[in-house]
Amino acid sequence: MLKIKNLSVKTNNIEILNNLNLHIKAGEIHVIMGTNGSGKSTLAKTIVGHPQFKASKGEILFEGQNILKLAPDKRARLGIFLSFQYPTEIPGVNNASFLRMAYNTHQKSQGHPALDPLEFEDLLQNKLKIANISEKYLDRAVNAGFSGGEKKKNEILQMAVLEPKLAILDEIDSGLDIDALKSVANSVNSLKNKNNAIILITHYQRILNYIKPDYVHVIHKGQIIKSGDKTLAHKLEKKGYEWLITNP
Amino acid sequence: MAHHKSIIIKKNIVKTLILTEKKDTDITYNITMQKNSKLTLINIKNNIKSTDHTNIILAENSSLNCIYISLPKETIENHIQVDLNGKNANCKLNSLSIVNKENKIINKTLINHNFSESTSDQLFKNILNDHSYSEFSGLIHIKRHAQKTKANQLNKNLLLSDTAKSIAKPQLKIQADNVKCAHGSSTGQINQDELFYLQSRGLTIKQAKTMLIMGFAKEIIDFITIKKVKKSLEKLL
Repeated sequence: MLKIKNLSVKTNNIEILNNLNLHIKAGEIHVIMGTNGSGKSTLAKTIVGHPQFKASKGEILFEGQNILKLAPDKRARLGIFLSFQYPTEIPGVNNASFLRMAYNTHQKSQGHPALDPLEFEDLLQNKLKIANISEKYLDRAVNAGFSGGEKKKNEILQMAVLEPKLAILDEIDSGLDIDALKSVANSVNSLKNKNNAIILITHYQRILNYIKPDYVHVIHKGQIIKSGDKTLAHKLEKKGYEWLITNP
Repeated sequence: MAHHKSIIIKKNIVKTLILTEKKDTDITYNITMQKNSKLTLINIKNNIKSTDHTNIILAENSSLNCIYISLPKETIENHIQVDLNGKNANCKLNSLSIVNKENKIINKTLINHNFSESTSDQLFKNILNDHSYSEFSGLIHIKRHAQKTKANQLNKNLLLSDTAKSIAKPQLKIQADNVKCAHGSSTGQINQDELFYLQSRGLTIKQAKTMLIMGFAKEIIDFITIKKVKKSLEKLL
């Protein structure tokens, strides 16, 4: 599904990703861990086409197509989704209208009919349950004044509505209490199937008590320095990143 | 030709006036609001040029809710003077202008707090495209006896082109010592983080920009509670 080959990314002339390689198949969950500033979020933002992060070298193939020159909205319509570490607050833009427009844009690009507000409301009921978020957030402006946990649940709601092939969850666990963490993890598990893939970016092992990854990768200085299964995350939790950085 | 129109809102009366001018105008409205009266004044000007003066006097316990929507052809000037002459008189002035080409919107307000415990809230928003121009000048004058006045004034401008220009002159003149006042002005372009967020969900850049511009306008449109007017306005925009 996703093949990242020799990817280097600079922002403000500083190299953040350096020859990074990563292959992800449909049905897999990959965890990316690493210290602050190691390049985790840069990788996420580069995949979805954030204008501040431009590849200086390498390619990103999504289902065989190099997406590096595609605008962010085109990448989204191909089925790539980023759950933001800090979801943007958008005052004045109604959450339900935004969700419906996003959904219909995806429908249209796949040659499916658009849903009117009533039809979409029906579809939303089930999605609200999956994301475990109250209906009242639909009538509010996108993320405006939401708590940290509500923002993350709203990201999951968008994921549930758009059903991406590849979902990148950037620190979906940060700022969540245990109950919210469990809820978000349950939502992610129920959205997971054999046709989609997830990249889970995190600092901590604790979310892996609920979401079982197929692979764990450690990023350091813009490169993947170690890959393994979920036991790698346990080791990191015990020994810290220093252990890996000094003994790669 | 300048016209004068006098309107009296009698004691305890609740009234809504919707002024939608179809032709170029040059009118002076003199509105007197008596005790305990309520007036909603909706003024919609679409594709006309006009210079209007609206003078409104509020007595004790009266409340005024003004909404100005302006889409100028050449220039629209709205001159609004409000005199709060009694205790608990309060006024809200909300305005949305959408200006294209080389057209201009000029909003000038003068709020006189002449009596104690009155309130005023002003929000003037402008969406400016092409070579358009906006000017907001607002003076809040709190007289010596107008203790416990609350007054707010805010002007926000959204610039959609590098060649649009906006000028803000918010002014306060305070002669009482126990008042709460705030005023400010902000001018900016479409927020790039917001734009990227919407795009990352599949909205085209055009859809995303439209959504953000409508979001900016919505705050004012939402003050209109008459469904029919609100709908026709949303269509117009």
